[in-house]
Amino acid sequence: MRSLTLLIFVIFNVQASFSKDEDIKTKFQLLSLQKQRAFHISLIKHLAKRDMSTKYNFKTNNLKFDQRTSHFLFENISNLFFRCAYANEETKLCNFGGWMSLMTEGEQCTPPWSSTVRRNETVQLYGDVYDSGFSCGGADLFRCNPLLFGPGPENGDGKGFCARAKDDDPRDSTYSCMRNYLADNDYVDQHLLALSKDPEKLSQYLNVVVKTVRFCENSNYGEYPYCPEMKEIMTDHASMTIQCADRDKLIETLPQVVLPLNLEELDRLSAGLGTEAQAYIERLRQERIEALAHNQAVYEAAYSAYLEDNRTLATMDRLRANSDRCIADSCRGSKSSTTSVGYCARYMKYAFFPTNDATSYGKWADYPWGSDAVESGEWLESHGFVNLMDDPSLEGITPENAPLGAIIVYEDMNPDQYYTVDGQRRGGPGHIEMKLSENEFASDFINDEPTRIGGARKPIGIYINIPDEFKGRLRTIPEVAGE
Amino acid sequence: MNKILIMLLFSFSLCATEMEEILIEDLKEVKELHKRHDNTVLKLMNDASVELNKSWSDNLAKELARVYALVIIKNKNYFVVDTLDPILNNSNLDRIFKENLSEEDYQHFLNSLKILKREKTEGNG
Repeated sequence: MRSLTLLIFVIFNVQASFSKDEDIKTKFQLLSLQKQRAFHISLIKHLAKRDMSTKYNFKTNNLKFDQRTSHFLFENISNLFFRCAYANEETKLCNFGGWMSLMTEGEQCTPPWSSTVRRNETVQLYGDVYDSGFSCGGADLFRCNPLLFGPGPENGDGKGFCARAKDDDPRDSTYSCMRNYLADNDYVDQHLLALSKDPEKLSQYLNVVVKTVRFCENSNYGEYPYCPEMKEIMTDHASMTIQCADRDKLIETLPQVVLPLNLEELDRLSAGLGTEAQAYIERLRQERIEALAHNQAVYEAAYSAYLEDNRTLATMDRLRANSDRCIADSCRGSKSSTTSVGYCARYMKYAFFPTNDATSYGKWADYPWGSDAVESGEWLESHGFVNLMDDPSLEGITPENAPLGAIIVYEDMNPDQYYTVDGQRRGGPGHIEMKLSENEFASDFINDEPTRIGGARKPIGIYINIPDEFKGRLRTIPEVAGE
Repeated sequence: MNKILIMLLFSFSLCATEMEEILIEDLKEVKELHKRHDNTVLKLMNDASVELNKSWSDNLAKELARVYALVIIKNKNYFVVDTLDPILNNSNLDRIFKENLSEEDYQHFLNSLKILKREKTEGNG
C-alpha cells in the first residue's frame, strides 16, 4: 500500500511538471527500482514501435538504438531515461525489437539472448531478459511481448507468439506480431478478458497504449506507416477492456505503472479513470487526516485507562520500592535509589512478574529468564502491550513526551553483541525503564531523564497496555506518500 | 598531483583542528551540572570521544577528563563511561584520566568499566 501511494504521489507530481526536464529527473529518481523498471519496460514497448523506421548498418546484428527523432516527447523521455539510469555508467544500450541490449565498442547491437546481455545488471533493470525461456527455438522466429499480444496460441508455451521475422532484418517483427494477434477474434477477446481480470496487467497495458498513441499522434504517419492501424486497435481495445474491468481495483492500480502520463490522455483512453484515480488519492489523504485525529483521541483515553489500572499502579510501586534494594545477586546489602547496578531488565521483570501478586501483568511462571532489555518488547507484547512508536498516528513520540506509565526500551549504540528483535538487528543488551513521572524513569534505579546516555542508547519501543475496547476502536491509517 | 595531495591533507588537518577547538570550547562551558542525568552534557562527552578516536589530542582529552569528574559528582552510575566507548581501548585515555582525575575518581572510572564490561558480556536480565 505504501508503494502504491508513493507512486500515486510521484505520478501526479510528475504530470504537473512534465515539461520541466529537471523536475522529471528528480521525480523519477524518487521512484523505487521496481517502479523505474515498470517505466523502463513501457519505454521499451514505445521504442519497439520504431522498428520499422530504424536503419541498419550491419547485416546480421539487427538495429541500433536510434536517437534521431524530431519528436519532442520521445527526446524528452529518452534523454531523461539515459541521464537518470546511466549518467555514471559507460554501458551503451541498444534496442532489439523491444528487448534492451548492449552496444559493442564497434557500435553493433548484441543479440539480447547472448549471455553477456542477459547477465548484465543494467539490462536486467529493464525487466525480463530474453533468456532461453523465451526462445522460439528456430531461425527467423521472434518472441512477441505477451503483455501486448497475449500468451500466444492454445497449443503454445503460454509465453507469447513466436512471430516470423528475419534474423538479419527485424524491422518486420512488430507487424508480424500484430498479424498473429489479429488473426483470431476469439483470441483477442480472451486476451482482453484476461487483462480485465488483472488490474496490474491492465494498467501496464494501458501504459503502453497511451505511450504508443501519443507517439503516433505526434509523429508523421508517413514515417511510421503502422501508426493509424495501431492507434485504432489500441484505442478500441483499451475502451472495451475498461468496460468490463473491476473499476475500483483498476483505479487503485492504474497509477502504479502509468508513468509519466498526461491526465487528459489517460482520461480520454480510459473513460475518465485518470481523474478518478486522482480523486482516489485525495479521498485517501482526507481519510488519513480523519483517522489520525480519531486514533489520537482514542490513545488519550487509553492512556488514562492504563494509568488508572491497578496493575500499572502496582508495577510502578514495585519499581519504586525495589530501587534501593538488591534483588537476587544484583548487589550486596542495599543501594541508593539513584544508582544502577547494571540489571535494569531484571528489576523490570521482578516488577512485572511478581510472585503471588494479584496485580501482576504476568505470572511468575512466565518470568523471561535470561532475556535482556533490548529483547523486552517480545514479552511485553505477549502480555497485551503495544509499541506506540509503531503507530503512525503517534509519530514523534519520544520518552520525553511519552505518557506516564510507559515502558521504554532502548538498544545499545556501542554494542559488543547484537540481538535479533522483530527481525531487526539491534545492539544489546540495551536498557528498559518505566516512566513514573515527568522526571522519574525507573528500572534498577530512578533516573531524572530518559537514560539515553547522550545517545549511547537509542529508544526502539515505547509500550503501554491498551485495553481491548480501545484497540477495537483504532482505525487503520491509510498511507499517503509524504504525509 | 603532490600539491593537490598536500592541500587535501592540510584542509583535513584544519578541519580536525577546528572541531577540536569547538569541542574544547563547548566542554569548557560545562561548569556545573544541574541534573543528575544531563543528556546534553553526556552527548558532548560522546562527541569528544568520537573526535579523539579520529584524531587524538591531549588538550581535548584533558578537558574531557575535567567534565567527566564534574559529571560523576552528580551521576555516579557506571554507564557514564559508555559515552567514552570510541576510545575506551585507547591507552592514551587511561594515561590522561590517571593524570587528571583524583585517585577516587580514577578508581570510580575503573570500577565503572568493570560493570559496563560485565553488563555487555553477561547481559542485564
